Amino acid sequence: MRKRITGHILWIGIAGMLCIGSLHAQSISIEPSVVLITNHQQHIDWYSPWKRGYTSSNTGTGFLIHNQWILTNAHVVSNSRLLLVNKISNPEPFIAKVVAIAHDSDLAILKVQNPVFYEGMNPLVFGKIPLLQTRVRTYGYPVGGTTISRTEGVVSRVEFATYLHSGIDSHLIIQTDSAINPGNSGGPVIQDNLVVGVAFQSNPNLNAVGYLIPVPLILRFLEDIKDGKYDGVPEVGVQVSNLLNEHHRRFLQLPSDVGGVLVDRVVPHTSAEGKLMEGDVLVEIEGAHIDAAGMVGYNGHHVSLHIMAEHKQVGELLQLKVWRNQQFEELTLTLTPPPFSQEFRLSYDTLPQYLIFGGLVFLPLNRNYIQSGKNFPELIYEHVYREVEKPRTRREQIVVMIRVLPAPVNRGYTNFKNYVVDRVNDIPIQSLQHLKTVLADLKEKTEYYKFESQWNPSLIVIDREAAEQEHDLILQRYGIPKGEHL
Amino acid sequence: MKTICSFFILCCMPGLIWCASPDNKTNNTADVKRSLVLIQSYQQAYDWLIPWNKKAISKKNGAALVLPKQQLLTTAELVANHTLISVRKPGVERLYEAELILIDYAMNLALLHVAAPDFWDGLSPVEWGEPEAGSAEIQYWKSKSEWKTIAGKVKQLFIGFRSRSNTYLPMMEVVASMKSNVQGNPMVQNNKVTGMVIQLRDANLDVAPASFLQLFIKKASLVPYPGFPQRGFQWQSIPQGAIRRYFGLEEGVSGILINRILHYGTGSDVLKPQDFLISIEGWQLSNEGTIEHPQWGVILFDYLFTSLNAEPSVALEVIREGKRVQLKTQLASFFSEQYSVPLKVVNTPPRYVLRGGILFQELTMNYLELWGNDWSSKAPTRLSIYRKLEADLPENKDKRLVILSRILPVPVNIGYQNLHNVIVTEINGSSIHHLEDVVHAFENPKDGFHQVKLLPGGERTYLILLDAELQSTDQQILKNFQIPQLERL
Repeated sequence: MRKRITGHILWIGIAGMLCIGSLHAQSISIEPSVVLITNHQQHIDWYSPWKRGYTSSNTGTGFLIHNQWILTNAHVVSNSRLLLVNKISNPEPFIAKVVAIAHDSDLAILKVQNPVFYEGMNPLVFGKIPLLQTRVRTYGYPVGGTTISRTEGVVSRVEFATYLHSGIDSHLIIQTDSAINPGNSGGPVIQDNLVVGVAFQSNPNLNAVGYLIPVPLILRFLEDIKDGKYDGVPEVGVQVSNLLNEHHRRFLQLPSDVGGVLVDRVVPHTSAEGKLMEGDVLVEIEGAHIDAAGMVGYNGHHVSLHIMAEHKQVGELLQLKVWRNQQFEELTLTLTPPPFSQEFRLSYDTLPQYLIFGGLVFLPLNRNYIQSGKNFPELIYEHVYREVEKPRTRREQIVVMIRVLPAPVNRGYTNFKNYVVDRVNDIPIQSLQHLKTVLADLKEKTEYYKFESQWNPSLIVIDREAAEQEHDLILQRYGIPKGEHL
Repeated sequence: MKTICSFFILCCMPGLIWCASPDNKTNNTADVKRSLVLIQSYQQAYDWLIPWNKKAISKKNGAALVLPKQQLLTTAELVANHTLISVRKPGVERLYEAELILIDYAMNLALLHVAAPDFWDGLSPVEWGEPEAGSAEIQYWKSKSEWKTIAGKVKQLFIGFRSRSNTYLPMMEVVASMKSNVQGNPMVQNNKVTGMVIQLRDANLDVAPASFLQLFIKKASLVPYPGFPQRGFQWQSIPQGAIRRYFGLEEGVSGILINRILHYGTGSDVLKPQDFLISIEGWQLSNEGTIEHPQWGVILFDYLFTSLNAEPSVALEVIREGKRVQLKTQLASFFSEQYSVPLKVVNTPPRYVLRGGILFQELTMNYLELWGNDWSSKAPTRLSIYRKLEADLPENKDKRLVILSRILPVPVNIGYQNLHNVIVTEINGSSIHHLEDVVHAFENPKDGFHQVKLLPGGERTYLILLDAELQSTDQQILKNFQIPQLERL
């Protein structure tokens, strides 16, 4: 189950004291494989979705693995117009391309065409999840200098947390007590000459804390892309609550030797749908005992039960044991990716969809738009709460008339914004493409288009002929190259 | 839980009526002095976060106008949540205790009574006049013996929106350089009181016009107090464009498009969405929803509802499906409790129910104001969404939103103790729409357990309490947390 953002974790860079110790000798062979990545990004203005925004250049770190692939974070290479990589102590930049990207896991693979780039570099090899209180060393190119930096810290925590790049996905995370500087993102974290994680986030609310993506999630990503496409991290699709209350356990007649968590909600369109039921108690997952707080033992760590699904691939099976009607039952789920993930996650690398009609600007609702603006409760309800409260009522896309470009045809509506379009001439609108189709289909049948929203009682009525006549002029007047992007 | 506290009995007490009926001399500036007293009000609001507590004590100073029948008129804000109201006649040391007869918080007006017969000696009721644009004076007692006059200028009559009460009320904008002690002081024009200062807003004063004050006094003499009507619909302006042709409106016909019917207020029983409202009681509406006031020019039509002199019915003319239709409806008054999320109330203790350490409350504006004036962005999203988008929908008529506001930690609620501000939908299989439903549902445990169901999507959906331990737990909670009672309804 995905979680909402709970903290203000930032992309990290790790820098600080260079620790000379037992790992020193190993660093000699690691450093040539660690590269500086410069991403010339172009930003998107979600309020003016036709605009191609300003560019900026940001740096991060990557490192060589097999197949001449450079592994880094997705957020280091997102929204890129030009990607350059530099080898250690070499001023010559090499052009790189993204081979694969996983926004849900904040991981990406790059490749450089020029074979010269790979000379003198050795692929790094993956290890395991490091034990608590063991030392790890992070390599990277944090801001404040151009040479490689090495920081040593201790593994202080292994738990589930939100991956900020997508804004919604929760996965296993490793916490270290390293000092932090921006720019280290994508750098390898090494123990015993093996990669045990990729540095990627920090938390400004905590002193000297850095976070790593653990190896199992990286290996899952590499396995996922073997067929040439990325399917994503599958999810069970349930919302569960703890069973720490003794009376609650007695009410459910749970045997005293099991832990278990209560299934509060089965998310529609997920792996769990049709298999798990509200009121089930999840007691085992993949043979692991689930305690009353929803945790399982995992490689010596105590983490959320969701760990057992997150290293699997879409289409693989997941074994569950539930307490249902005072009996244990074994269930097998076929894992699927989470639904509506494109809308729920922050999206990158894709240009916004939009449609302009009669000066009204329509956009499918997504996380980027919500986060770019103010807190409009109707948008948050549609995006977050509708499907929770009224399962299966979410449309393919929620079409929002985000703003009006003032023109004679839309006089009287120029102050309207964030108007959730429910119906056009009484036809329920399912997506932006559907809106376009409806407008086209009605062309011969109506003089007027009537837009309605359940959240806003005001009607919008647009004269079809005037909208068509003014269309080009509106685009020209407001400097819009295209009236739609679908 | 009514906003209006009616203590009419006080002003009818035998033995008080005979005394000091104020004389009716012709008013002049000197008489305005005799029609104004000073108020010192100690206030203590209820704490909606910890509903068995009251908050800190505060003090406000202001003024009140002398009315016939030994009554005083002032603003509701000055005497809201009062613990002690003292009044003083200028030049007299003694403080007299005043009693609240009636408070209409939504309209920000209140009536007081002073029982002591000698208080009324030397006072005379205010003489009302009709306000007019142009120069005016704000007259007031700067201290108990210093009389001040500030020159002002009446700019316009307008319809003000009182956001904490969601009400529209007539107000005059007056430019005057007054800084404090404004509430309850008279505005004087041609030696007559033509308004009462309500508040200082930006650099200007909001002054309630005399006609509105007189209407309040008239309504206040009725039992029960009928309140002020408010509109029972939402509307949009459609001055031009395709939408007029879509509704078949002829050129030159002006009015407003009704787009949502509320479940309370004037017109909610006869109007329909997509009616085009063209006149109210013969007053033609412009395309912006204004009427042409003979003296003050354009003003929002809501003026009519707060100014019509307690007419039993009101005529509405609409264009419905292309035809002109005459409608008759009653002026519908407005009370906080008619709202699914009751509007802000004062002098009223919060309702709550406590069971097994779980504190149940109803969502009210008082509760939402715990997050301050910008509650709509700071309060928990589900609560502000309900207030802003769902509370006025017809299906929520006569319903309240019951919330689990917080949990007092005791052993029976281990595992649930982080829950707060979540919406309760069912208890023991019964739908919950009022706190009374909570009390009733807890009387009917199922197989020895109480099951509380919350709106899904939060930290958890179900809570279970063992009935056998509930009673002893509740008594323990009263003792340990020093709470006076398990519920207040």
